[in-house]
Amino acid sequence: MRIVIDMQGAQLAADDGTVDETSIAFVKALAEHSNHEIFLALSGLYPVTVEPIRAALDGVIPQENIRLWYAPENNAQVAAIIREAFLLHLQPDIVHFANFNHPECLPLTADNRIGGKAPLTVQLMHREGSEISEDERAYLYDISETFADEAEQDWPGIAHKTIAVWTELQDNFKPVVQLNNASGSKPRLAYVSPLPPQRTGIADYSAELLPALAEFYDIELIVNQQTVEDEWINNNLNIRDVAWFRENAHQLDRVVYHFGNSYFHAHMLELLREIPGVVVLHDFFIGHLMAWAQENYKNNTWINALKESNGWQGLKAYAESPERAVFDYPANLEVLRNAYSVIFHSQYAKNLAIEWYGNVYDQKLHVVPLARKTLELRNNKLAIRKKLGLKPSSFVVCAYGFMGETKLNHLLLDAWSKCSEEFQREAELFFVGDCPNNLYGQRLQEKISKMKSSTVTITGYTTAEKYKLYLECADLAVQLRTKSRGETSAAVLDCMSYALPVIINANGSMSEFDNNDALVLDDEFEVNELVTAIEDLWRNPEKRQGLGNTARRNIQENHSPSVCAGLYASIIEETYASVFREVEVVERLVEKLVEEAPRGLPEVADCFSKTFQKKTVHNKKIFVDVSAICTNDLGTGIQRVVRAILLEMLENPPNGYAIEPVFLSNTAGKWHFRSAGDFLTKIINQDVNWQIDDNAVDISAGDILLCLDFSGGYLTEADRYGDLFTRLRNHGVYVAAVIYDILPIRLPEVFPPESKEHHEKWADVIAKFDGAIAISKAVADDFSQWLKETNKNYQGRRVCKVDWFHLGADIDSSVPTKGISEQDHEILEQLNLGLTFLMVGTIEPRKGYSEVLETFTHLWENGLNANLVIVGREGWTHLPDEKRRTIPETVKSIREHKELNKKLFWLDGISDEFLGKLYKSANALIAASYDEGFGLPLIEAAQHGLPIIARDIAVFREVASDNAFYFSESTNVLAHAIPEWMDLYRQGRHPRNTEMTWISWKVSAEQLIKSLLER
Amino acid sequence: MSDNFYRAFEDIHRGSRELIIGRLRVYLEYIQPLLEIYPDSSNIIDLGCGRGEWLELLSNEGFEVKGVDLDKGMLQACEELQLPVEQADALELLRQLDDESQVVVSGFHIVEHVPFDYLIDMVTEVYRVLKSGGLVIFETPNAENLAVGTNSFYLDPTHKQPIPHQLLSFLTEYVGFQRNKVLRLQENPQLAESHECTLEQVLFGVSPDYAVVAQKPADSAVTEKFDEAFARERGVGLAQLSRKYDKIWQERISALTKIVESEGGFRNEITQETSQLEGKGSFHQQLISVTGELANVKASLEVAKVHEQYRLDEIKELKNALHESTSLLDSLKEAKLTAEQTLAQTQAELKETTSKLSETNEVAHHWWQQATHQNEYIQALHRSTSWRLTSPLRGFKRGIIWLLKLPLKLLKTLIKPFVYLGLKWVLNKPGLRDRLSAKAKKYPRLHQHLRQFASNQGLVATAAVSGDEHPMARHKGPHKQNLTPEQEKAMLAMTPREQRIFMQLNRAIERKRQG
Repeated sequence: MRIVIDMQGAQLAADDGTVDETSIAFVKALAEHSNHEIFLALSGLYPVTVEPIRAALDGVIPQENIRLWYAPENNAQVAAIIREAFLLHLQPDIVHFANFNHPECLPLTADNRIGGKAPLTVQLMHREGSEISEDERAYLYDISETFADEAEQDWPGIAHKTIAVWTELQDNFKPVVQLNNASGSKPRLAYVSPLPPQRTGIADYSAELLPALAEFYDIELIVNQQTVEDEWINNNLNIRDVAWFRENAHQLDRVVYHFGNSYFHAHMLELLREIPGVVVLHDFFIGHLMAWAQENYKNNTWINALKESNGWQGLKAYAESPERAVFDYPANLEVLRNAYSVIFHSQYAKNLAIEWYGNVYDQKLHVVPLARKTLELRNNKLAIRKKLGLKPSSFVVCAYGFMGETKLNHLLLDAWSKCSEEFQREAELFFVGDCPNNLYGQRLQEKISKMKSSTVTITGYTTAEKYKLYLECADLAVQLRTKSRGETSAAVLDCMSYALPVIINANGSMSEFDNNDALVLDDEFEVNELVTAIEDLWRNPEKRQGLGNTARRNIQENHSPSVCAGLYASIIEETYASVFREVEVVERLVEKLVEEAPRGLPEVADCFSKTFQKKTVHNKKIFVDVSAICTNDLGTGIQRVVRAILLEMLENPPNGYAIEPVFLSNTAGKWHFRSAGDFLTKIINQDVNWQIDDNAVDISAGDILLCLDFSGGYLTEADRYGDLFTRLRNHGVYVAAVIYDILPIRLPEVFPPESKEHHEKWADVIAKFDGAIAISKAVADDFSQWLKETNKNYQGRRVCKVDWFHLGADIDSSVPTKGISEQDHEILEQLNLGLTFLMVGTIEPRKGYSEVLETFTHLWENGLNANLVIVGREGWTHLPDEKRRTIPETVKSIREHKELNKKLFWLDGISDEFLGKLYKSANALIAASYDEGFGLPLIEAAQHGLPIIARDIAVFREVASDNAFYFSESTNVLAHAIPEWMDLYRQGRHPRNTEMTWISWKVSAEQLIKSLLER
Repeated sequence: MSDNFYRAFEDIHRGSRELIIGRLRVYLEYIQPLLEIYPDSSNIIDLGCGRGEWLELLSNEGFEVKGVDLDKGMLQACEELQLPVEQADALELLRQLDDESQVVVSGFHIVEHVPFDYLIDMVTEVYRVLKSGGLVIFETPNAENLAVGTNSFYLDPTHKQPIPHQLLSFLTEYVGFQRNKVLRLQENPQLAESHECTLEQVLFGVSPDYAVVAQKPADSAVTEKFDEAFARERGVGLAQLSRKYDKIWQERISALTKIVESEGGFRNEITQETSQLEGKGSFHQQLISVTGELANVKASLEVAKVHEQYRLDEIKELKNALHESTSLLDSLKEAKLTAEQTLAQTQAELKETTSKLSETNEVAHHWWQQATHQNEYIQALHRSTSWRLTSPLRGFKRGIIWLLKLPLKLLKTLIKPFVYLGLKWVLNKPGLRDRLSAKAKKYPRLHQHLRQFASNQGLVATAAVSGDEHPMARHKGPHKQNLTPEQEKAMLAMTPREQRIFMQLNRAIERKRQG
């Protein structure tokens, strides 16, 4: 049982920052003492009351089961309509109104009552107050009595009693069924399909089906063609164009679309978005249709469809080969999602939907057999053979349809030539259909010409009339298939309807035929099996006749247009009885809105779309913020991490989630996230411009937002001026950020002057998130400590969960630069003369360069013979000197050092290749940073087998553990540490790092995702 | 912006007062007839009168003038000269004026400061307040000049968007003005006269300002007084300059072609010489055979000596003939020598021609480099953010980038269809296309006009295409309703689903209202 509890009364009863204790205790008791599914419906009109309720119930019921509905302020009538529709939209078995008698609680509208779809109960707190009208009492069941024990706080008891009452109510409940046929007239159905003379099988199919379907509906045909050639249709049905359909859609009761994989259906894509209905999907793969629409109508239709339907893999396939993508990826998700329900012609096609998209749409997928008319059999085989010029006595075997590789015509030919001589003398084989003018076609022709006897004929394209003649005069049909993509073979049904025995193989939807319908071979059969099957039926006229007759009976019973139309009608009616139809809500809203100026309509639309969420394919999405990198990819350390992790996430999305990169935008003065389509394109291929849509994105309850990029300014602005993250969290979105470090807060003196302030603003925003995932345990601990110090986690709010993961170190996505100059070689030679210490990193105060340089100056003066190599650019060159802290001083002392280019080397802007050589020829890496977020240089040193001398800070211990030689103020200052390490090194007793471990980006992304999902 | 900022800005950028009054004289030939036609009520309103140079000029000519400006600092200057001015919004002031009350309404460098909708309203109002035969004058930067259109226009932070002259003149036609004239102004006067034309001039020499003068319908007796002025062309346009540039290059190339062809002539001559020399070879043959004959003759002589004394005379004659042949041979030898000398000389000349040709090639290469350099400059401009943020009406600039990438001979054919490129650019940007199209639809004639053009150019499919082959050609897409600018803006931040719901609500409400 799904229990939906309307919390508006509870929201109104609570003061700022508190909750209505009774209602919360009640919900907790229900959750703990029953197994029923509980949804809470909260009003978005009181945003400050949302977080306390979510916090109080955190861990009691899933956050995504706490849903919000939204309405414009100061319009109670509109709000009432939206709330009621919302409650219905949650598909409740019972609706309960908690603490309903608050004076400001919205009334239920008498004409609707949640559609009469579920029993309604209410808990009245002050019965004498009677704010509920008599009218409302008539359908609201008061369960206040079960709360009689409230004073004793016996919540388990209250929960049990309430459940009992609800169960009884539900058992006895009869939903109001709106009978459309009450007046006796048939429902009006819009039937959207191509019709004859359009050259598609679906047009002919519709022409056969319509007379039968007209028994159930008043049909309006919606076509995008100028003429319809069908006598019955022209005499009996209204033919309308697309414009008429748009204008009159609100007056139609039902809509059904016939979709196939050809351009005859292109106009339906937009129509289905605007006017949803039941969809008959004749082809599961609609890549050709989409590709056509992209070519001829809108230049990103197919790309967007691929992205949405098949995600990253679909886009990659497109980048590699559109020709392949069109075959391999269905690109049909939008059709499935927008349809009220989907009808396939085979279980096989339905299963494809489940294979591709999981069971999200299970409930709305149906199967109706492909309809086939059966004609009177004329027993005049001989006359027909004469007409076609066939020998009267021959055993005529036919294979119907356009020839091609997927029809396995070559296997039939192989089998044919292996048949016995006796058979060959009597039998003739006809391919009734055109032979393609390609390599396969040529191969077939060759095969035929090499055969000893000339018993094989290709008829070429036949008219419908001639096609029927061949069906009537043949003795046996062979219809083979491979690589089926869900389409149903009309030819097999044709054979069956003419009582013509047919041999098939169990490929795709053909596996659904049984041995009463046809002689069914295995999907991947042996040629000899086919030989046996053909000769067996040739020898057995009775068997042939039996097979033909049962097959024909099956068609008459299960595939006749009237049977199929009946199935259609029952699915359509069932769908419309149960489906939530936004159109109806729109119509009801319009009644109220029409009086006022439509100035506020955008707001209503905003409320509407947030309230009534659409299910997406994977149910849920992880939105990954890339605001900074997608505007300006500077290739910084953080941006390289963003790119590497995003790629891994796209390649291996967690089960049930789609990954969508997004960026923050302030378009039209409203902070929101937009899809980073261009960025996604660029990751796949720098050189293409696919124009993937960068629309604003719908973010639903249960979705996840991960601020992977460090989007400092965007983030704080969006929070400050848009309150964006609070709104998302209220809505039920899990909002988390990756924390690279909070060093500007911790060590402000080694950062430019304003950094602390900016970073604090940013951290203040993150503190309000659901999760903060640091790149090391050290940073996580530091952030937790900061949260504690600044008192960010307080009562009445969900705490920010602090967690950590490690960065990958396997591949650097940037291309390594090449080149070692003459001068570089000289330096290398010079270095080989003595011990060499290497430091890598930008010259900025945090890295400890000046301390190291001072130490070495002192040691050199005392006779130390060792080199110090600094590899790194001068930092913060964009800032004026007064803001650059010790940098100018450090740089000056390097430049003016008397050992420069003798024992001291500063290499700026060298190639990665040269750096690699340095790693190899140096004797130790000195990591002297006062603090870091992570320690990638340590890992790099270990990867080159270079010993490490590191400052004793938590993050270096975390990364290198016992694989480094540590120094610190308290134990061993650098001036002592260097000679000490050198002693150890000479004796070979210095710490090695062969044991040091690191992880790949794949594992890194997995750790991050795990932290997001396990909460 | 502080009041005096604008005046200071103008002082720097518009030159001295006298200079400006001098420039404004261009318009006098247009407006002087009005003084005769309406001697007693020759009222003129100058919108955005600035420092009042124009008012001063007109007042001296005898017109009743009034200036209006929003900028107090500017008006001070007018008041100092005792010119009648008012601090007001141009459109509001126009709305207060009676129908047919003015002979001229002018606006110098104001149209680029106002939103396009405001401009349409303003031109409509101007039409209303003008007397029959009255004139409107709008002067504005000429975005056709690429330095203006791509750079200097944006120097003024209060500029909204450049108005191409086609748009402004069309706008006057659209509201009902009988005729209009585009006057290109302020170019370097030598440019029109000079026969030379550089790429730099094509790109930056076009008249930096232009004005549209449009006349309200009147009797032909009235309008003919203006015919002469309206017939006169002035200024330098982009098409004109580029055509000139093109022509100069065509001439240069054809001159080069001639050199190449004449080189071909030389070659022919040489061939002839050579064949003559070959002919001399056959003379040698002849000489050899003559020598053979002589031997025969000698033999005959011996016979004759023995047998026939009387043939001695004949022998003498033969001796003479021999002598003649020898001198002929000498002169032939001389002729051969001369021919050889001529050949060497010809070869030297050929070499010189070739080196001249390669020099010319280098010059051409220089031009090519210069063009490439300009291209890079334009692309750099294209990349700058501030540029990108500016108005989309710069479609024609894209055309220039295109142009520079194309071979010279295509220049001419491509100069013309700026509108084509602009439209194409807009049509290829679905979002922009929809927004602009929605805007244009508010002005059905304008929309019709653009659509017709686009359809003629094959940019959009015409509605008449058979539905069977191209289902999408008949597919009109979601029907867009009349939206307020705020709503259109709000739509940009909506998700596609939200947009659809919004349109659905809007349509349903419209339907309800219509009953």
